[in-house]
Amino acid sequence: MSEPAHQPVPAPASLYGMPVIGAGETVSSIGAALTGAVLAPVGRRWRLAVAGALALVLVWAGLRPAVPAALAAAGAGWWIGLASGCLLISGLLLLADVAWRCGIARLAQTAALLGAGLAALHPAPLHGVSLTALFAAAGGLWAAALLPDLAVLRDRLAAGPERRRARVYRALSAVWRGSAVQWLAWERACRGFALLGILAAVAALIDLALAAALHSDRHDTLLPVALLVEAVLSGAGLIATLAVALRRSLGLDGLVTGRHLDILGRLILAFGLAALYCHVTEIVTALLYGDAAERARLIRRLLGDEAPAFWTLMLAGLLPTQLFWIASLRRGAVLGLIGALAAAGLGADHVLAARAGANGADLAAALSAAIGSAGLFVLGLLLLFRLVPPVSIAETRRLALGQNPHAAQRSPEPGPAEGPHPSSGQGARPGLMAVFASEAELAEAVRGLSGPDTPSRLDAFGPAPMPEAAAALHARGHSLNRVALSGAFLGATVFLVARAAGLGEAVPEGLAGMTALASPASWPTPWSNSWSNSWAIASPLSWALAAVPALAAAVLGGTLGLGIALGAALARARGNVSPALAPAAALAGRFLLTIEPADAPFRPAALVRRLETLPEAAGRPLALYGPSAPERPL
Amino acid sequence: MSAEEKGDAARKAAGAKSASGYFLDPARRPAAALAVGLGCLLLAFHHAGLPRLAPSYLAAWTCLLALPAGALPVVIMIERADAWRPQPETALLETLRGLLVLMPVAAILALPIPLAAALLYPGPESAGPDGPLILRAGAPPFLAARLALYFALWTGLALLFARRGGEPWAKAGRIDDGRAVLGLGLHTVVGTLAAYDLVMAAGTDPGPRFHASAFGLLVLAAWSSLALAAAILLAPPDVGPARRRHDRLTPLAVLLLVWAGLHAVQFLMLGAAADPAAAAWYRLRSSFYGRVLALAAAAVVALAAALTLRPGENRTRLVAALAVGVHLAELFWFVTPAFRGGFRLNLTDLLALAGVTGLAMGLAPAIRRLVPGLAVTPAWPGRERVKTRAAEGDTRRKSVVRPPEAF
Repeated sequence: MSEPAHQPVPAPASLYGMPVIGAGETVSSIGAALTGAVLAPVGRRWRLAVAGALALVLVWAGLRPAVPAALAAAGAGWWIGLASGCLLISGLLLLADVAWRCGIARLAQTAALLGAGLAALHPAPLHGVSLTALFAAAGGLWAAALLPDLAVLRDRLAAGPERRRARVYRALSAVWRGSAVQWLAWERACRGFALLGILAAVAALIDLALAAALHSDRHDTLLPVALLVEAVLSGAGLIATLAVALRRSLGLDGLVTGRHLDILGRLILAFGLAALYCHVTEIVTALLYGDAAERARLIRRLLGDEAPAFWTLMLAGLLPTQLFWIASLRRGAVLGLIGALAAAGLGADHVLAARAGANGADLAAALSAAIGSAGLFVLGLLLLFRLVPPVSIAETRRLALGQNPHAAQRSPEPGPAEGPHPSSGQGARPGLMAVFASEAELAEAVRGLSGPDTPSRLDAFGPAPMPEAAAALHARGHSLNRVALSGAFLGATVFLVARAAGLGEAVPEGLAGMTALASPASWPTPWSNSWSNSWAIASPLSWALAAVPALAAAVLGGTLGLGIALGAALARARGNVSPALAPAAALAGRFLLTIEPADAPFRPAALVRRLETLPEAAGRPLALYGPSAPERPL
Repeated sequence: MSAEEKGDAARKAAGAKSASGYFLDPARRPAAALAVGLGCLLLAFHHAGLPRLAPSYLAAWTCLLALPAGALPVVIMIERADAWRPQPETALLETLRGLLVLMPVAAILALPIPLAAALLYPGPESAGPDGPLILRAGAPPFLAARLALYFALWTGLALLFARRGGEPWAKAGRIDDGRAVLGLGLHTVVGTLAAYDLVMAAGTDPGPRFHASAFGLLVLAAWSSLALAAAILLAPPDVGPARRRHDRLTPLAVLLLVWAGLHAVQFLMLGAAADPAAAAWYRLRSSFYGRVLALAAAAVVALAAALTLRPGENRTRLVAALAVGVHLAELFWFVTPAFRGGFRLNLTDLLALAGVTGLAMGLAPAIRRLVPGLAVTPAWPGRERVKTRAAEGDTRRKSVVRPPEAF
């Protein structure tokens, strides 16, 4: 008999070697490190950084009026690119369910939110709806992803002296209890916000390109693609810089690992190549397929008054990214430096897109203003990361539970002696609470208890998403998608109606004329010779140009709808943990199963016996609390 | 003699007595396909003449080229994605690799294009002092040289990435990031230039020439979408429990969305530019049938996006079949209106497509024998021919990766 020709497929993880989370990281160490980063007293370095950032903000405030409008618009485009890139990276990683994203996702989401906010402070060249949608989508994703972490901070502060701060976190995370159904709704909502964020980013970048095409002579059809690619590249550069700084300043090497830096370096390298492709293709097309006028424009860009911006883009934004073919450069401080250089250098393409030919003084003022606005960005980061963890606690705990065998807390804690759960406002009820070290054990217990003869209502709580427990509980998520889709439809409809009304005023026959124009039967002969005039704002063909802001309006409506749906779903699924059974800190980070009376007579002693007979590590709890429970570790 | 061999012998005996049996015999199938293909092309030549056949042949040939050239980046991407997944894709990936064998076939069938260059592309005399520089290099020898370079590079890439799949993972290793990026980059550059040279430049009218830098990317997206849709139709379903089966609709929907987005972006940017050459190009393609095609394409993209919420094997195949139809029509929409004053599929187009298909089916087995590196057997459970060959000790074909469930 011949030897088998095929060998088992090796595990993909072995191809890479480096872990995506420190080997010693556990549920409790992650919570302690990240809440400690927020709650620790501010240090001297933080104060100095804030003072430096404030000085830059003052420079920006002083120079803003001196910057020409075209260059200010280029500044807005730069921030929109950074925000869109961060949002695209964060959203795509989330939708692709990439497990290691937790190390950089919060950085990307926070940078996206601040970038969108900063863009709004400039005279943005794109439609207001597009920018609003970008800001709303970035804010929605940031806030939704943050919710479980706020509850961790709330629980950590519950017994501490900082009562005012505790009240803030309690108010912000009032609905969050960490039940299996809440985790289900949270995951779905985050995916929904991620999709909306991607759409908002794409719409904003296409709108930016169309604005450049309408208001300047840059009509290259690759411009939207180039802006998209450069947005991701600049976003990756910015995230890499922030990740390197975070590892250095907070010592979070176990959570933002060398593997994260390596991946970011590869991302920068790949998108640097893609951006080079766009620019080289643009040059080749103009050179070989363009006419004499187009060749003259190309020479102006390479050697004329646009040359400084073009060569800044090449030498700072794109070519240094190719250094990451050298693996060692992807893992150190060089990554942060090149990332920052790329993120800054790519702003030059927005100067090119805005056709902002300017003198040296104007350029110097614009550059100083850009540095000042970067100061405002840094100030925002410093302040926000004093309020929220810089790395997602919930997602990092999930990653640790999946990667590290000893990440779960196995030792039982003493009984509930630290007072009621801070977010519960309900009276004491009879019931049982079982503590488990892992979600799998909890799910086994649920399966062991479930059945037609179980006269109780089961609910599960945990420090990370619990899909297996939710499945064992037969928990069904709330329909968030329908509300989000309804919001999107409503948003697009309102925008189009408003636009029709606006165009109706410009047409002599008013809205009746608009209706006739919108009918395809009334359109002129397809692509008539007067096509060059057909894109005027009052033309029916301008409906085509309304498509992108309409998409943005749909995203805006969808974001609002999804936010409302998430709030309602979380409020409905708060779960029932009796205050007498739910200590705050003592059981934080553990998987809890609550058993409460249903309609039939409740016999806790029988349930306790049933749980005690389950096999160890396959359903038997670490500890039980409540009437008839042993009130001690099993 | 086993029962199977007896059955084969009986089928051969029966086949010798009837025409259909004769041509359906697997051993004679390539020759039959070659004959049918040549017959269709001769019929088209007789029906329409060379000047009208040439654009149809070019469009049909781009449909053939789309399969290997479109499969190449998808193979690289799926294999890279597999590195992150616990269960690698098997049947679909092998089918896509099987399409790579068509690259040398497309190269051979490209030979008539430089010969008919005068009928398909503007000559150097139409360049003028201010015209595009590329027209000065538009003579047939230069076009043939560029085509030879493109196909040399493409065939090299096809050999590299097909060979990877022909060996067990543990032995061959996976494509690393660097090789994947270089492969994708080279393919993108070659594909862009080929799309410019062969598709965008088609048309002999003097005057302003349409050009758009996103056109190369647009054609590459269309090719990849067509290749993936065709592979979905050809590949058998994944084996294993339903929850572990791969979702094939989402990648196809993403490719379709990228392709539709590039079309929309090109249209909007050229509209904003109010470029007369672009206006003329779109005017030619916006006849009644052109609009029908645009609406049908939009409907297919919307359907693909909507069905990702409820994916299923039959739904995926439905979307793939619709996508293949739309893309084939689109490749004719790109080329033929420049020669006819509008878009409309006619008998010559259908005969040219049938002819090119027949020639490709006839030449592919010969190429597999001549270029063993491309002879990746698109094998999967249930394909008895593969098992039979393996039992006979056929070592010409490479072994294939079995699904993990088989171990």
